[in-house]
Amino acid sequence: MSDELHNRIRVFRAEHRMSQGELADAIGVSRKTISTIEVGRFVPSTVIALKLARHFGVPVEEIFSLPEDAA
Amino acid sequence: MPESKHEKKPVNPAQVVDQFMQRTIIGVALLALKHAGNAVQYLVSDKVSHWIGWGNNAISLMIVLLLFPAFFRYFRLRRSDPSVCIKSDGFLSQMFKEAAARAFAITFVTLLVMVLVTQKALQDLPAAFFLNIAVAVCIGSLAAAYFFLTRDTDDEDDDALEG
Repeated sequence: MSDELHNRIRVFRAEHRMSQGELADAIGVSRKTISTIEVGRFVPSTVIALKLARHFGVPVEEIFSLPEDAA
Repeated sequence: MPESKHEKKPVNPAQVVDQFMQRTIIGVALLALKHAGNAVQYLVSDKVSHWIGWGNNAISLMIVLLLFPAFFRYFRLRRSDPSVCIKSDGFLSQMFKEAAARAFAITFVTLLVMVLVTQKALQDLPAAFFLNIAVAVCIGSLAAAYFFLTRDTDDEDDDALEG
């Protein structure tokens, strides 16, 4: 997981029983984009973050959060 | 009516763009090799230079064979859906931009070194030699940086999280 940004995409995928490929197709990005966001290797753009939030029907801060010790 | 087993899955444009980008970068790496070969031809004997020329022709053919299907698929997709274009905020697009920034820095330093070196030595070599070196370093470093930044991203499982 990235030190810059925590995410709960895997949890939401599990709740919706979706694969990375299905989620990627649903929001119009590649599977690699989803997998690298999920493991914290890639910090997504605001547009992708908002698309994810809209897809899962939750505010964006429920999916992404800053670590507790972040400045 | 029962659902056909061979029903075509809709194509994800972002996936096609990713594949297009991957192939383009491999093509760029091969092109860097070709330019490096062109530069080396000025330093070796005629016999070796002849073989390098053949190698370069083979690389050119490989580039065409590698890129043509990817271009064809990409432009066919664009024709069917004009809104499809290179997505600028996906992982590979961002890594490409980062690789381009690194390649610029490496190329700049290489050009400075070449200016210094040619003031003291290698003055009898033609300009084409240095141009080939510059192009090889420029696009070679772009490809190398891109491969480095995107390493180990293929093994991550696409788990369906069934349960």
